Amino acid sequence: MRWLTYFILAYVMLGIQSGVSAYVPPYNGAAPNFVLLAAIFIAINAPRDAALLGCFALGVLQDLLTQQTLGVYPLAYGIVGVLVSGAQPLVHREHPVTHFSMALTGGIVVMIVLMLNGFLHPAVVQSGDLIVKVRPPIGPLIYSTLYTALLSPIVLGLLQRTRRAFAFAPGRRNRLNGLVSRA
Amino acid sequence: MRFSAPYVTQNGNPDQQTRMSYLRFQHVFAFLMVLSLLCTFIAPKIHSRPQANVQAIFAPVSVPARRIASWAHARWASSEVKDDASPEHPRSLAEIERENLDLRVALANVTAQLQNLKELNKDRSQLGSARTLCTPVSVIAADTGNRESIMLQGGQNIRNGMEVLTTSGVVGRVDGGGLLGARVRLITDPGFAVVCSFNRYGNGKYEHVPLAASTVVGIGNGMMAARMMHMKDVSDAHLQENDWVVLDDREWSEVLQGWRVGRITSIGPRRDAPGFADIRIEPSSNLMQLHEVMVMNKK
Repeated sequence: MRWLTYFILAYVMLGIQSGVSAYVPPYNGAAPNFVLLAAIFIAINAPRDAALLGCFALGVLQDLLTQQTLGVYPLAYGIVGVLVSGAQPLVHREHPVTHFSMALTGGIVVMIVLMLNGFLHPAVVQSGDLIVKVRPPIGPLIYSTLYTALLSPIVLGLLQRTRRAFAFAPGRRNRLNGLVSRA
Repeated sequence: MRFSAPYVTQNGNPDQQTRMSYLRFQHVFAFLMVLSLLCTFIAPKIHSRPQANVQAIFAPVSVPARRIASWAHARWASSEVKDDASPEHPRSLAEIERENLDLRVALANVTAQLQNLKELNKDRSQLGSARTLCTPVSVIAADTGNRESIMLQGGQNIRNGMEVLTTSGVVGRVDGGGLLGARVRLITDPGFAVVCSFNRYGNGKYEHVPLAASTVVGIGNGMMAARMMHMKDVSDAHLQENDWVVLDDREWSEVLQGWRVGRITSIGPRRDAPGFADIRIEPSSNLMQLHEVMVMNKK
């Protein structure tokens, strides 16, 4: 995979994400997750090791652009990379249903990680003897997952047309493909 | 560029590789994932100060994207402008102009009194217009995750902890300032706490609601909540929707005391704490969609 093209993709997607996130109704933070779509694109096309590293690096970059605790997005996108790259030999990369299902799955993974982080480490505000725990709201996360999944056929479809620029290496044969070809 | 070592072929088959190189990558990736897991769940207080500078690097893409999104939002999704002094029954232009004149006269009167007091007590020389202590700064981006923060343009001598406001209310505090940019944690970010008191503005009168100042906390989604007051106290003080919430916190600059924080949108009982009130507060505008703010960076 050409890493320069990868970083250009990451730069553009992160810039769009930070510019658009405040304007998608009905909630703040309910914007589609363009960075997740970029991670899915990398995971679905690149060889496994490059895909995992690429997804993780996208998470690190997104972590640098958010108030969120460091480590949340790398963990989430790393898991997404493992799931999507593992399903690589089994899916049709160009099909919109593949894009939608991968985006929905990835969005749910990210949502779970964010919710767990908010649940386990809520913001605690104390005033005298009174304590209030504040957890981030769930509504924006759900909307973000749905928006991401709905936009995925369009965004991933457009990105698929630029596959040549990334020069993805042909995938390794896995045992399943080998069995199928010998059958 | 390839991450793993070049394949070592066995029996001349280029697709096979040794277990050695593949295991090395697995170890590295597993280590990175464990590190992320630790940062996320075990040591969540790690913050990166250089983040503010890194965010500014994405400005060439985020600023145009933000402008396009802002235009689309204004065209298709913006709501009507609220008349804050009378949200349920918006007043006519003539009434508003008359009120403006009254306010200008009152402001001139208060300013003169303040000047006299300042001359009497030199220690309070910081009192006065907050605007003269502020620098206007453009907003270039918003938080990319589910938190509430905005990114400001750099090069304005902005430091950590500085107060950020607009003419219509408090915005937040700088949480990571640098040469290239500065991030502002908004008052609506979950866990952002500020002490406020309650006032009422209506029919040309501005009066204090007889209720002790209380902690107001950001709860995300552009909202705040006051959850530490007894329902009885709230009812006795006749606190109601559309009352103003103003800053009354000694950890903020003295010149900002009384600056508007938001407006009460609902009052109800807390489900998780019987006897306590759950008061929801909304800022005067969506803070994530601001184009420009004022940073209090002068003394």
